Amino acid sequence: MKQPAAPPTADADTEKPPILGHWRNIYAVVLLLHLLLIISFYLVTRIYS
Amino acid sequence: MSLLDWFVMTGTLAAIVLYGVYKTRQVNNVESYLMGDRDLKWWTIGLSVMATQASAITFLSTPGQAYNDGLGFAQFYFGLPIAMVVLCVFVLPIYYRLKVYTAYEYLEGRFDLRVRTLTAILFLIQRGLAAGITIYAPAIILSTILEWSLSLTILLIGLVVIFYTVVGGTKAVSVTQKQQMIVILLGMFAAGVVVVMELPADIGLGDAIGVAGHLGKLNIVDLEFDLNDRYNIWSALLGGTFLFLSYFGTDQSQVQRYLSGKSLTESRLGLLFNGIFKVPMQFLVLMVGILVFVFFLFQPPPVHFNSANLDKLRNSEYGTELTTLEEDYARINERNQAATLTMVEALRSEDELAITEARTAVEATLEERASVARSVDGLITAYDAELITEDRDYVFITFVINYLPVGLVGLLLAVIFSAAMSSTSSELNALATTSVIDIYRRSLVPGRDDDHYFAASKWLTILWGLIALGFAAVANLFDNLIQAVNIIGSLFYGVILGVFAVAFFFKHVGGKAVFRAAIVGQSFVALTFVANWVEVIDLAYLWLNLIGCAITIAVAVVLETTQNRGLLSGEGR
Repeated sequence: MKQPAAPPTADADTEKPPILGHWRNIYAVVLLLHLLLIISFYLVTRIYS
Repeated sequence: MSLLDWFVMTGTLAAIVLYGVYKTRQVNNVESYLMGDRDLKWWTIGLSVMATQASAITFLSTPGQAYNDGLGFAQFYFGLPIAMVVLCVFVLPIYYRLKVYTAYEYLEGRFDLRVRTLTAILFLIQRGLAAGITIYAPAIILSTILEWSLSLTILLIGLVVIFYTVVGGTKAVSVTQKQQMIVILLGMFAAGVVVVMELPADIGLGDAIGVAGHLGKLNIVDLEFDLNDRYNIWSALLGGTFLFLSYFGTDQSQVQRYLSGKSLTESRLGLLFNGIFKVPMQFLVLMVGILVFVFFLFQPPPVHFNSANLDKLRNSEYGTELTTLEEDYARINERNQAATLTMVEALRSEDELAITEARTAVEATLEERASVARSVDGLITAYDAELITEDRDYVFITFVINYLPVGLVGLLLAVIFSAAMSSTSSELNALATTSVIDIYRRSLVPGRDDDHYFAASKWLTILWGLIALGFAAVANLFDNLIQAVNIIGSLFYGVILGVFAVAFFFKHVGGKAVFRAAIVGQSFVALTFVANWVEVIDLAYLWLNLIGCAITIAVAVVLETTQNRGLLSGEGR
């Protein structure tokens, strides 16, 4: 029986980001900025509610 | 519209289109035409991804949404940055390593040709219909407000888009989208500044924010958990992330944008750029709507924002009743303006009691205004039950046409036409690419030279453009067209997402199981839809997305497990 092709994994992904050394640091910055944005939105909501 | 506005609008649009054509004059092969030679930088990818998602309706409807309901709609996009990170981690490296043209091409390597072809066809059906709506929806609003012929407006948008998309392919789409997005952001920012400048001389931005906030328009985050409410933080973070993963990860109109990147790094940065700036951009657009709301506390708004509906009423037997209602409305607006000025004074004095009293007075006049508007809606329905009384989409364009200075009106119209063109061009480009790569070259006419497929790509772009134009031209024959297309989308989108979810996250499942599961899932979705249609069950159509996805995954996993057990027991004997 023909075995299904396994999906490629991300292991071969070796490209470095231009800043912060590793992609996980970039992702952390993006998510942190998003969290700060949500917190600031929440504070605006609290001020007027 | 003044001569200067005409000059600004046509000049801006023509400059963008000519720039796109000029930049893509070297495009002469399939790789270049469909993948843009894979040489785009991250900022072009980021702006192109944003422009693809933001249609003209985004800029017509979103300020109107804020005008009516405040900033809560911003929550809808809270799942987007999370989805961008997930795609960068799990999906982009796979697409890049396989150097695929389309998302569906990946499915052949992962499963087999049948699964690839099935998902490609499902995409073509749903996106082909949506392309018509992307042209029709803004055209009907612009033609009403500008008093242009609807057919002419549809033709204007459609032919220009077809022209530059056919000439330059995916690179033309991306480079024009970069310029279009710059014009859109500049235009919306300018509109926001002008709204504040048009407020009464002694009313500043701080006063406007204070008034809007105390009238409940700045309630952005809703922490209450409610499954029926689309706009709270939980549905945004859970449902929104799910929605954006499927849209950005499996819809070729988006996948094609980031696969044109120079490298995996450029594509990742482009998507993360979208992740960082999409929510602030939506916030900016919504804030413009909030400022327009405050503006119309000091200036009397029309009793109904769709002027075509009012004109029909005025010339009918309901004309006298309309005039009486408009006179009532004018008197209420005078009291509303006075109450708002009192509220500003109270806010400046920081006297809580005075603020509460003033707010109550403003809210009372706003309720009176809404009551008169509802009476006008009743007249419109009595005149013609087919007319749409919801006028939210006309709020911002009414402000633009009537209150922006000469020149800026032309720029804002260029913004709206740019948004219509940018999303339509992505759709046509994606439809042509999927047709050529996944169907035509793979199954119908394989083994021909590059020139043949290059020409086929151009002809298929023209064909999809004409289909979209044709659908847009007859769209007014359908009662509730946008809902109809959303239902069609929901019929197919869940199964497509289910197939991709199995591909990425259920590594032991093969093509045979997932193909059968997709057929079962699609059949179940169709039966559920029919049961809902004949009122055997009562289900919002958006749930079809989840049903299709869940059944495809579940059936694929069960079938694969059953097959494996059957094989093992066979070997055991």
